[in-house]
Amino acid sequence: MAPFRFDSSVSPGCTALPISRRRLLQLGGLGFGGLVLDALLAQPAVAGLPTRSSGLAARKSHALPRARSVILMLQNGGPSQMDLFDPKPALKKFNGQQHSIKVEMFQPGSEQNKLLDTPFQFKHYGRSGVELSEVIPEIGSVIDEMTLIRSMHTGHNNHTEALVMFMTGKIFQDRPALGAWVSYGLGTENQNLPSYVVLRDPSGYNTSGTLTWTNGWLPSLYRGTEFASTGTPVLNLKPALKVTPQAQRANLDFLGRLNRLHQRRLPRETELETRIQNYELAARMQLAAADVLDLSDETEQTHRLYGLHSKQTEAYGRRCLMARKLVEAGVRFVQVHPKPFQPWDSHSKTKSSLTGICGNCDLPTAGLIRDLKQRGLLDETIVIWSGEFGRLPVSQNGSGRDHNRNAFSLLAAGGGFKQGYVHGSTDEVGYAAAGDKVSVADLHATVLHQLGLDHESLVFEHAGREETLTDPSLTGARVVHDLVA
Amino acid sequence: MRLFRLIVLQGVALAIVVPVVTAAEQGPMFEDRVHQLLKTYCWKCHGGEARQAGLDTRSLPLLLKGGKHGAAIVPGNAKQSLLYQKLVSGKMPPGKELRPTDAHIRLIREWIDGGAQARYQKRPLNEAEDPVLADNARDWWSFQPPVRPPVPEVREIARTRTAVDSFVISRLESSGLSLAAPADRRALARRIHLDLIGLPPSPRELQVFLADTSPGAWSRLVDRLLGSPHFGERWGRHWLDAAGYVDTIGSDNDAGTIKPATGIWRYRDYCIASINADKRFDEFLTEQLAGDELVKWREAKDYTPGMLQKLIATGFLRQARDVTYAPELNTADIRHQVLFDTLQTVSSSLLGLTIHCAQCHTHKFDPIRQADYYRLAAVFTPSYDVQNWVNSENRHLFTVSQKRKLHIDAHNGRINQQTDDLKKKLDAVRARASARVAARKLTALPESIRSDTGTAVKVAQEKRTKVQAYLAEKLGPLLKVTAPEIDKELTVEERQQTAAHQARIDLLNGTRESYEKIQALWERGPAPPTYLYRRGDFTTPGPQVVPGVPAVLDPAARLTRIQAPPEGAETSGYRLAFSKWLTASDHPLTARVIVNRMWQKYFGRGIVTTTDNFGFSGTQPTHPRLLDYLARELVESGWSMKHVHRLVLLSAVYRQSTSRSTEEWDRAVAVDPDNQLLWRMPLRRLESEIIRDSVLSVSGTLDRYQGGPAVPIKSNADSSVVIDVGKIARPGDPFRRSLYLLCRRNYQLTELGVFDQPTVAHNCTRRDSSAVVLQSLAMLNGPFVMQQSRRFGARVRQEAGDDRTRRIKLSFLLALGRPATPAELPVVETFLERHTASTSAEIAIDHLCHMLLNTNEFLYVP
Repeated sequence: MAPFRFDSSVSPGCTALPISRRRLLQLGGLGFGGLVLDALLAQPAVAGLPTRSSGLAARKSHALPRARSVILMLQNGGPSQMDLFDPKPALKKFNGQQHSIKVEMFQPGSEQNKLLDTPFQFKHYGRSGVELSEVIPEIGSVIDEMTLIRSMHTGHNNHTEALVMFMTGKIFQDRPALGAWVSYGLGTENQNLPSYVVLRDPSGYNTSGTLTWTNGWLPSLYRGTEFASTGTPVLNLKPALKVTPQAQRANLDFLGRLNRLHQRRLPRETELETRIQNYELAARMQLAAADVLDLSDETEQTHRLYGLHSKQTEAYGRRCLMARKLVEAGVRFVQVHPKPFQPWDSHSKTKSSLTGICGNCDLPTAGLIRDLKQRGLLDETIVIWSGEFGRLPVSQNGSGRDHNRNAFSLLAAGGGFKQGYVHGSTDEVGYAAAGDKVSVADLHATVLHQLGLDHESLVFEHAGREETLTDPSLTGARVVHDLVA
Repeated sequence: MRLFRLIVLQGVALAIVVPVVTAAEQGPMFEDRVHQLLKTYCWKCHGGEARQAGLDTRSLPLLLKGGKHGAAIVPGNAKQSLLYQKLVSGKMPPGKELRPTDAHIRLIREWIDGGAQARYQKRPLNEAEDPVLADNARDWWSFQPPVRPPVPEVREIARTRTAVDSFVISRLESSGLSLAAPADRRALARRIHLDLIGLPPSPRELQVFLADTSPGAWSRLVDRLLGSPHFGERWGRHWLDAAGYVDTIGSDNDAGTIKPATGIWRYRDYCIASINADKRFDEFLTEQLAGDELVKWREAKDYTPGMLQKLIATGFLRQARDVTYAPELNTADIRHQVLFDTLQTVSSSLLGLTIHCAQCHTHKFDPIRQADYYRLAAVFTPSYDVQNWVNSENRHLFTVSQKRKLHIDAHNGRINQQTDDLKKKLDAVRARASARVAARKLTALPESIRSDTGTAVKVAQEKRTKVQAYLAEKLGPLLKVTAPEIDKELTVEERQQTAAHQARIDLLNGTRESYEKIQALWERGPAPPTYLYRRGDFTTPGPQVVPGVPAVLDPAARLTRIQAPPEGAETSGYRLAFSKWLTASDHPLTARVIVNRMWQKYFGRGIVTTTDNFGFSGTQPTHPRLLDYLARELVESGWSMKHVHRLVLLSAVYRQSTSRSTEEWDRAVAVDPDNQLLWRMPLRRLESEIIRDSVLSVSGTLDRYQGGPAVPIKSNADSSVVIDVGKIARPGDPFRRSLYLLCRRNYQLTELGVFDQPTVAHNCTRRDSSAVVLQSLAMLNGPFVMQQSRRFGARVRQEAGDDRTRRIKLSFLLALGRPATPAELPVVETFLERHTASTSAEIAIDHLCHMLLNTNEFLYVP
């Protein structure tokens, strides 16, 4: 394995955090060099505000950061808050009765407006005694590490609009996703891997697909890169037709010579140099990405922690473990998706549908938290677990619930988020956030804050406007200081 | 610069004062809960998604105005108010699902009885929404009509070829700089081929040009390429970017689901044909904005070809994301978004202005008032009437007129009738034969179960007894009669009968007539009222506005207010009036915006870098007089785009080299680091489509078939997007030019997406050009380039024969438009020898061809 080496992109004083010996070993141990991916000949490292041409070099945050990376576990479909996170005794009491407030429906099926009790029991978990559903015992077992926000709300009750809003701050599709903003704001520490990696189920896309990791109008450099969790991690990493490694090496050498001869005419064109380097990077990336994908050097104990031993949890567990390896390797933002389409969308049969998806996701989620913790990575990694909206307190089709933009629950761990803490509340039946409400924009502002980025200063000029992720003048976004220690 | 005479703050102050003045204490306020209740109970039909009986209940003034039954409320008297009467009688809302509670009805009564008070509702447009323009608001350069500037004097007069040069050289000279040396003729030939038709020159084309050393050779090449049918493909694609063209309806979120915009390809082909024909640009715009208002198509017996083209042209206005085909999403907010997105496309692509901020508030930088925004919206609300909507799946016309369509439907109906009858007769003959076979098969069963089985299979499945079900399941298959068995069973006579029937059916089917869908925009009813939406929110409509254009762009006030249509007109004429204004010869923006985008394509950056923003927050033009000169040339040449192309292409600026000596380069960089003054030809990377098309052209597989429905693509589980070879119409489809591949918003063909083919959330007037490692991976390892490299290798071996020198020469000529240099030759020889030693001379050529396609030189316009 190639030794880790310092270079301009990770030199002391230029990285987001002073690099620790431990961290150095982790990076070195994975064998990643540190070449600047884009704009190779450009500035050694960018301090302060990023610009249109900042590239991916690691750069200083606005303030001393608490966290350096983010793992977003995007639970699309709309996990049901009153069946998972937000106990509502009133639903039991008034089960089957018409609710006094006419709820906002999305699909047909809830016209009768009758309250529906949860099929699950709620229990107190951990030292903190947070009440959660019996269907997520493993998350319960690590709840002492987490903040549970029960008062989230969003702007639309259709999946696509709400997902786009959760990721980009607004319901309209052309804005950059959170991960793109973070990459833009901070660059990345490992230049042999993309800054923003997306791990989705290899069998298909989730609803709204690539929209949830779009770069919007930010440069395409900041778009999420899909890594497959089986097979070749990055598209075209291996030749589509048979070429021996020797032949490939000969080809690359030859190409380099032709390109250098061509470059003599245009010695000052930095983009040509970037491209020449990219071909070498492509060769290195093949190794680096393969290393991340290779889970065989993880212990049996780690495999069990993520549920790789069980068919039910293996697929999601593998992505959770890859997420850890990626942040360990210096990737800035990792987005993990559960099953394709909209796995949490329980329009009917709440009990069986939630039991199924919780069975897939509960153990690996807890495994990731435990593993990050035992490796000392949880302090500097923000883990967010959330869907795009919540569900209604009234019954749809007898045993299901329709979409609800007025309330949903979210879990946050690490990176300075409080431990064993519950924030905010909903009304008596869980229909709408009531106390200490947190908007999507507030969440974004808080996540950026923990990364050392000021949500009002992280700007990008687009179509004549200084755009921000949170657009505070319109959304009133603020850092929710109560959420963090 | 102060843009408005009265400062916005006064308006805010007014808004704060008003509630104090009008807020009487006696009853609830409209805003308190009444608005919400009306939204819940009334809007579905009166205000949100419809305006039934002419009634809109979104605001107090609209309630007072009422509908065809008169005012909806009588302030101070609930019992005399229609709204209250209908609610209390249970007539409204209709149906049983949605019943207002007594408390809700009481609240509405109290509100009306209390005088129907509201805080802001009656307020007219205030100073924040419709401020008076300051006298100097029109002083901004881009709001002044372009005036033909004098061509500047330059010292280096010998270099000037067209007036374009004088403008550029004069600026260079005033900075102590000069043009680069002319590029060599090979590079020039490659450059102009890539720029005008998007394909590299063939060795033969190159040779012809190089051999022509007579005066005017360049000009002849320019004319030949401007006349090529591929010119429209290349420049049509640029226009389609500005329009935000996609082949799908809706937001196209899900990789696996493609919702086709059936027939929209005709709009793509219309653009290509118009550009090839050098259609006057003013006409081109007018057709796209108001083609349906130019011709009397509604009552036409048959569309003339021109009529159909004008309807197809309105496809320009059908590119916004429109998900209203999904019933849950066919809601007022989403419908409004379609309208607003369309306005954004119009303003960014045609006006070069960012007006969308004015949806919520008067523009912070530009003198575009919130009222201006809604006046402009009013131009389009008759065609995108939110309260009289047709969803995106049903919003289409046909390739034939309504009358012709009825005729065809009737004609085809008659044929259906006849063929159905014949089919019945034919089936009867075959049924008789089938019965004979079945009877024989039954006879073959053991007698003990024969009749029971015979009965069992005849009984309907759900009515069978247990025994019958068993028999049918076990023995039924043995009794099945297949089509070939029937064919064999037919008697000679029966065979003649069926053949005669079938022949008749085929004959009739041949006389069917057909038509197809076109995606167009037209008006479906009288123009609806348009309101300014307070804070951009359609739930809080303010005063009504009349159609118009931003006053700052209309100094002569020719069209600040558009005339109302005559009573009974079939279309409002608003869009036509708007187009007339837009294409007036002294319009300050239209010509500048388009020539600027043309310049951008040639030089990598517009004279105004922010191609969609000529306002206060946009960049200043680097060559303002040149921009005006080109704009005037466009207008005065009769809006001929090809004329402007010629001015640029014949210039020395376009024909200069991309390179300079290191000393010259460093000196120029010190003065002008970004090459804004054009002291050399900027290096431009090929766009995604041109990379793919060039690869296909070099390998010899390019299929030049033009137009028609899009070539289908599909997403694979591994996130790659490929051509859907299972669904193609022609064998050559996978090798057609990239602009004919299905355009999706979010899932581009992998080879195109990786090279920055834009995702189409909105239209795009300026593309990104990144240099990321995924591009190198796609060129090095991707299936498309690898496969094409082998075809390229095979082509070289076939055309150059066995001679290695000839092979090298041909492969370089095809890929890079030049032979290998003396410095390269030994490197190439060594490379080929190395591969030949380990494999074969044939495979070595494949590798050479593959690497030539990977070179930087291949990716950039020389």
